[in-house]
Amino acid sequence: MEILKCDGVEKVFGKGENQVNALCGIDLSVEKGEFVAVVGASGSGKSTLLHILGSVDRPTKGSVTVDGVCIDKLNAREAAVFRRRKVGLVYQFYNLIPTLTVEKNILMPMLLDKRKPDAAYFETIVNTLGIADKMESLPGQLSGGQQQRAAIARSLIYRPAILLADEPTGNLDRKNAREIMDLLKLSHRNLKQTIVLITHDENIALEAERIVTIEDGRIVSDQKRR
Amino acid sequence: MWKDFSKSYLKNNRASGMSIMAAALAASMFLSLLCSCAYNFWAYETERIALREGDWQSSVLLREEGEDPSMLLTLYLFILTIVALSLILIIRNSFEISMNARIHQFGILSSVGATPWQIRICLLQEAAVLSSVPTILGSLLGILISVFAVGATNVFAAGVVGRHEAVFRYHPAIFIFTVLISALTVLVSAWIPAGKLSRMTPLEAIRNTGGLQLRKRKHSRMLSLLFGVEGEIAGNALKAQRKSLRISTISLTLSFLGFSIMLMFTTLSSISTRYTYFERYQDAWDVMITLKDTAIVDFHQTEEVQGIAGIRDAVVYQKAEAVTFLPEELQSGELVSLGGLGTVAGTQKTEGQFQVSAPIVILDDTSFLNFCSQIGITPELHGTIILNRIWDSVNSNFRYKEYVPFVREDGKTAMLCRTDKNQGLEIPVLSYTQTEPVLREEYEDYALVHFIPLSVWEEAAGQIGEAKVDSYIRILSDGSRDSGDLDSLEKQIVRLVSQEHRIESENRVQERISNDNLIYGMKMILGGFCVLLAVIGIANVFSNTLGFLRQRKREFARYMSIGMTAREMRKMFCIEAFVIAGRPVLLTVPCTLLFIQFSVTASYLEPMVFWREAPLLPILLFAAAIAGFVALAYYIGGKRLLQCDLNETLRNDALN
Repeated sequence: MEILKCDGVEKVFGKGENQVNALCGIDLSVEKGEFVAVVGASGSGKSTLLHILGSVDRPTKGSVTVDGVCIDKLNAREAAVFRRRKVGLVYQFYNLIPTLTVEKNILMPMLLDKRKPDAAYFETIVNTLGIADKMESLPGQLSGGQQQRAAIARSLIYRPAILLADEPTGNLDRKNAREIMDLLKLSHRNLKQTIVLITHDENIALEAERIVTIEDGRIVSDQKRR
Repeated sequence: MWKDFSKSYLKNNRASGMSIMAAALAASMFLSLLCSCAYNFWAYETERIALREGDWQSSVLLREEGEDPSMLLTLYLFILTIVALSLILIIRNSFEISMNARIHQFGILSSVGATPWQIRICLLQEAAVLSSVPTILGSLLGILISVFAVGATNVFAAGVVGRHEAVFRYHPAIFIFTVLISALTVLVSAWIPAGKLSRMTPLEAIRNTGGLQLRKRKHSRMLSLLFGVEGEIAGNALKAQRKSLRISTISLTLSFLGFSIMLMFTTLSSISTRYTYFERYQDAWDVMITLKDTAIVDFHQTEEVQGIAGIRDAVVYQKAEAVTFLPEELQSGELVSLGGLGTVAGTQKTEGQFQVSAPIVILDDTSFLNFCSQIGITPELHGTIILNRIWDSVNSNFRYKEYVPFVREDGKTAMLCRTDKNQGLEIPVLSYTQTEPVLREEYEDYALVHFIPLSVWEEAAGQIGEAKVDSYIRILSDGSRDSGDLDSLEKQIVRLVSQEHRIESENRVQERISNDNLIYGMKMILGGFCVLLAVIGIANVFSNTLGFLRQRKREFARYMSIGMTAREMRKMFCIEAFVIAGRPVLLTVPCTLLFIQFSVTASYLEPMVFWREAPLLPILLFAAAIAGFVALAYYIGGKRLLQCDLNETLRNDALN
């Protein structure tokens, strides 16, 4: 079942002489439960693609469909609600809310929807991610690895259609990076979570089952590994 | 290099520069206003004493009356220091917001070799450049406002008897002092965050989050309960901003509390004055003339005054102090049944007698004879009439006093002594009475007041008491007693009497108007200070919200990334504004209610009498104005923040 589909997605920044074509006709399809790595050099357009897939940004041209919803036509409010329910975003620098406890941060997408979280699922996630004892801490009191685990927990809490991770290990040491990748793989395997991982690190990309390579805003290769 | 660096930053970040300039302008305006007002107050007091006692005595008198110049100066310097410190905190906030936005840049500069001192000097130079013109302008603006303040004081206090008009004064040294204090305030304000910034390591600076942080876990239970998760986030954001919002919280709370209590106090005071003075003495006088430094024996125009057309009754009188000695058995039966003088007045016996104050009111002979007729005795001039009453403090309060007879009424003579007890004289008692003559006088609660005619006073030749320095003429008109009638009658009397005596005159209607003006003026001036205080608080809120774009862009980008809608973000702003504007109200209401409860009880007023006149509307308007401005500040700050491209912040992925 196709969970994500990009059709001729283009993104242009700036005007006139300053115009930059960040994405040029991206066609991409991701099946439910797939673990896809998007690799490319710095400035290749991979992060722009991720933001468009996460409805944080809109394409200049083309269409994007996630879980049957054409997200490029959504207004700001609809995009926000879509983001909280259907997309889990994990950033390199975690983006946790520094004034809320880790527990509140994880539950935030559900709280915004005034929905009660599934206690058992919440327990499973925080136990799996190894941060059950950090629920009452503030993000600033955690190490980088722990903050990233909290960010992954937050992205999974709503059981999103797709998890988008932008260089999730870019700010971590080798040991923590390894652990985070293991956790992403675990969620993909156990929860059947669809994951799109953006990275410039080919070793990290090798953890995925499919690798899409972008250069100058174009997909130059799309390989299934197994 | 630094010059170009600062120049380009200021050019490209006008809003940041503007907020610093506005803060410097406001600070120097307040300081200048304070300095100018204090100088004028000082000059006026010195001038007042000089006019009254002669120039050479003024400084001596200031000290004698407890108005020691050095004490006033200390008090002034204390207030100036407090204000300057508050302003330092406000401006510091503006600088801090601006500097925080540049931590990343300075981190880069630091990493390529800029020393902390270079960074600090660069920031201070920027502060000096941005603040120089606003400091001069603010100082001039402060002078201008104080000119208006002096003018307004003259208008409001125009009817106050014996007051001389204040003239605005200024000295160039004050201006130099003000500018120096303002400049110092600005530099210290910049020095604090500049120092903090220059002490950061390059790595800290480059990685700086710049966003709101909490050191400890906080719960905003109430806001969370009322507004859900947005309430909790807003509450925690407010807690994280607590330092930068401290001045707003203090200023807004103090201004609202001060305004509410001031209005409640003046209302209470005017009700009290009306009951105890205006209504009580409504029929006791129309015009009062004070004959300054004049003994009643030296005033020879009594008949002329009494003969002026339009006067129904004119009494010339002087007051004197005396004491009498009261054997225990002379106390009235009613007083004894209340427990005697010891219980009612707390007077102690000495050698079996009570020493009791016996104030004397010396009436001109004609008025004394009229008083005899008023109380129903044969008019004659050879003795004293005793006001035989004492306040029953056991069974009544001071507002609704009840009296009992003071002494048994079988004594035929009364012994009156000077307070120094050197001399005394026994004079015949013509009568005891419970009725006082119609005068605008309030008598002591536990004294035995004696009314004697002028001829008895002259015969006693000072043996029975010590006369006070002034004499009085109390006039009742026979006209309609409106303002115009009384004014012309007052002028007529003044023309007659002032040829030979130094006098002060007042009339009842004018006094009422003056009193109202004075209260109104007091309300305006104190209210003005409350408004200024509120302006400081609101300026701080504005300085904070105008810094949102730099300070909270990342925070809101994070909210957006997890699916918070613009509406939910607006709700957060509303909650924050609600808390900032609501906190002063929440703190003020119980304090004001306690104050009212205490004051109404202490002044023995019926609560409903007060509540019928309670100034609720201006208080509500003040609160609404605070709420309105805070809402405006958040509207502008929030709008700017939500209009900016939060996506770009996410795209940059510099959300570190």
